[in-house]
Amino acid sequence: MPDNNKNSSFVHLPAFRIASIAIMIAVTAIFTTIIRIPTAPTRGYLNFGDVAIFFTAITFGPWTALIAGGAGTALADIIGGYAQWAPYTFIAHGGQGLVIGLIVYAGRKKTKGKTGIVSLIIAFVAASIVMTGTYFLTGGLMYGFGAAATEIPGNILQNAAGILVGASLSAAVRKAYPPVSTYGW
Amino acid sequence: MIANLYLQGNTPVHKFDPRIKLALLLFMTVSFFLTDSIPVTGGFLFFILLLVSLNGIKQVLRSIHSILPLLIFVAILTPPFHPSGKVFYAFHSLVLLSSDGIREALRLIIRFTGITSLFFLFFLTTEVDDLILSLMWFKIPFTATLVITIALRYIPHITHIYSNVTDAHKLRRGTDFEMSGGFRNRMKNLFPVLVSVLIQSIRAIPALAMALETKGLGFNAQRQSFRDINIFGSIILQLVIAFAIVLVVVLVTLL
Repeated sequence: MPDNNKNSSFVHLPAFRIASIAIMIAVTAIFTTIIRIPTAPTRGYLNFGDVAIFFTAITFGPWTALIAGGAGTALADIIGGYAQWAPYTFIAHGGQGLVIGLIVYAGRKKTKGKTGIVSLIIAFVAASIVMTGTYFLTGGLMYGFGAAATEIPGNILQNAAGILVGASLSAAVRKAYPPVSTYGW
Repeated sequence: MIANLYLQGNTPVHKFDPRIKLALLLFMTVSFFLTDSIPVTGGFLFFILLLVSLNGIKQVLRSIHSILPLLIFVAILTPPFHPSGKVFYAFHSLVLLSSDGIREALRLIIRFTGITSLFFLFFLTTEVDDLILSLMWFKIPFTATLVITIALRYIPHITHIYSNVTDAHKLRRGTDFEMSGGFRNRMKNLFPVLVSVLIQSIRAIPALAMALETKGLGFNAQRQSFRDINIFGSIILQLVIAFAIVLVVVLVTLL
């Protein structure tokens, strides 16, 4: 296994980026479809798609998160029988991943590589606005703004779970498997 | 748990060329937004459900089953926003049900059900391989289709890792490992599992990247594929049918 590559140029090859995007698409699709926790307040399920997107954005950066978050959740929609949502899901979750990644990476530049709480909170707010807003607009066009508004609280809850679990997962994985911190771009 | 919607069959929709099907899918989705007439979109919906029912009546229910809760929401929440027309039910001065409200709710329900069953029909009758080959035929870059193909290949693999890791944790913790109780209790058990699954998945990246390198990724030439799009019957006949559908839809929505 070429795990500990001292040759850092390897991670900048197109093949490496394609490989990391493809694997993270698969991970995001699985987190969205298989891993769910029932939530009491909404009587629905909390899926872990947003956890995977926050994880990807914080660990791999904005560009991997844009494609992996968008395509992973869109693929999960197609697999789960909600294919009519796939294009909007791609925009909503891809934009979400891009925004988180950009904010967290900009924050890291200022704090010399550390992921600050402040940048995470700003990322959470921006991600909620992008994701919830896209679903509200497209849902409104598809079946009216009245019904679309009922989904806003659930979507914000998804983002809250996403940042809590996703950020701690990212910290745990980077601690347990240090090479991953060179994979971002 | 990961199930594909594709169902083997012998219906005319199955035999249709995937490229034409893909183009018709996009066209029909747009056509649902072109007109507000309930009989016209209702007719489209009926036609689509008819094609779905060729695969068995059960499939019709399956296509609508997933969006049923949302349809109920739409039916309840849309009428109060359109209080004009003949009033059927009002709470004090608040009009809750009127003729315009019912029409608006019906219009949204038909459009949403129509688009849903349309996509359902497409994925019920089209294999993922054929979809990817069609996308390549439409000049979607090879890299993009490659990424999706690899991701589809790795989904069962990572699912397997997930169940293995879960089983390992169960063995180690015994009855302690219960996926029940509140959010905190579940997270306490789920978190270490997810960390292991993520590390296992991430460790696959360098090996996969090397494999892609040795396969000559980035080599600029026309790609060939081992598998070809299956063509049943005459492609010209299929094109004629597709154009007939487009023509009928355009005429009906514009008139």
